[in-house]
Amino acid sequence: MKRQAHAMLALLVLGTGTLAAIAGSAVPAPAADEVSAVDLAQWIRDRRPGLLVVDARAAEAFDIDRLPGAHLIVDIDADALRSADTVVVYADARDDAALGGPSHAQRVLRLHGGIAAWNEDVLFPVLRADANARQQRDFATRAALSRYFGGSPSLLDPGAVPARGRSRRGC
Amino acid sequence: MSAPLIGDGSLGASLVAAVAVGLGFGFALERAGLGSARKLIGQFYGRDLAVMKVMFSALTVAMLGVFWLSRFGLLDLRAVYVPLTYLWPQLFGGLLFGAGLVVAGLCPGTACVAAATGRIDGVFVLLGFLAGMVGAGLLLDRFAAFYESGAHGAWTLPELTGLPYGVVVAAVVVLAIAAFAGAEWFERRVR
Repeated sequence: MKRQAHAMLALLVLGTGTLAAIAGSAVPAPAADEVSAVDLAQWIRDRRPGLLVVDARAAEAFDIDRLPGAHLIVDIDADALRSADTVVVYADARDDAALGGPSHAQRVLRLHGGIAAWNEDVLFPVLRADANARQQRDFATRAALSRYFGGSPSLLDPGAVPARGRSRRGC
Repeated sequence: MSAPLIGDGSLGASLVAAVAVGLGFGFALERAGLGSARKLIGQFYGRDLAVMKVMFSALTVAMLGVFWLSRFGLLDLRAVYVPLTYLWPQLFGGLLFGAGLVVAGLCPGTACVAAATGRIDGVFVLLGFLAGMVGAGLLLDRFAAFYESGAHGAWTLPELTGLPYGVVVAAVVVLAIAAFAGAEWFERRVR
């Protein structure tokens, strides 16, 4: 009985671990009606035909900081929506962007992570200085995208820690 | 809503959570029999590998929990504290810790459990820890350069290996299951 319970637990853990390997990243993947910030940046850079980027925030926030080529939601007319193939709506965070985009367009997507993801993933990506060759190659692509939009990719020196934090280990 | 539910600014709530988690941790250690130095020392003679099994089980459950909670958007991994890596002092500290564990038969958590359950050896080990902490604090300035050496910041296995987080999780799971099977086999042989 005990042996069977151990075998069942081992199988459960192994199954969960295998699913983790398949999932790959611990970050939630964009839903079917979402687009990642990096993908949207590539669409904008490539001037994807029929793309319309809509800012669903207040006008004050739009004036301070917005995505390139974005239009404030209240300024968009029905004709612009009808002529767009893909409408990407964004807000401050992912949940805010769920407030429903324009319904006339053929395809409406939310920006995964909102404008915060745009700033973090597109404008200001960070790479550890001790990253391996493959990580550096991957980062070069993102760094080029960042510079295209006027961002500043940076290298994090892991040794440059301002102050040693409290130790929180034990057993 | 996603975890962590307690922000950095809420010291009171953090302390309440720390006490609750500490009580739970101590209870689990006691129920696993790890308040006994004899049980812990059995690890080094190959008679009883319960310590390794308990710790590896906790590690595996926590790792899978953190991964999947984050994956489902219930935990913000960026808000989770990752202890900073200082390679050389931590290697030295690990060796010293291991030596102390063999000599005393208890580590900090299990010493607290042993003392709380009335074991005299636990009380003396705790007194030793206190003396060691005060001594290390007094001598720290002399070893400041070594204390800060080999700094790598918050360094994780996915960053070190360049592998996806999920693949590292799966590798650790396989390692844990192999370790459990190996431990059972070894215990049967010794007995």
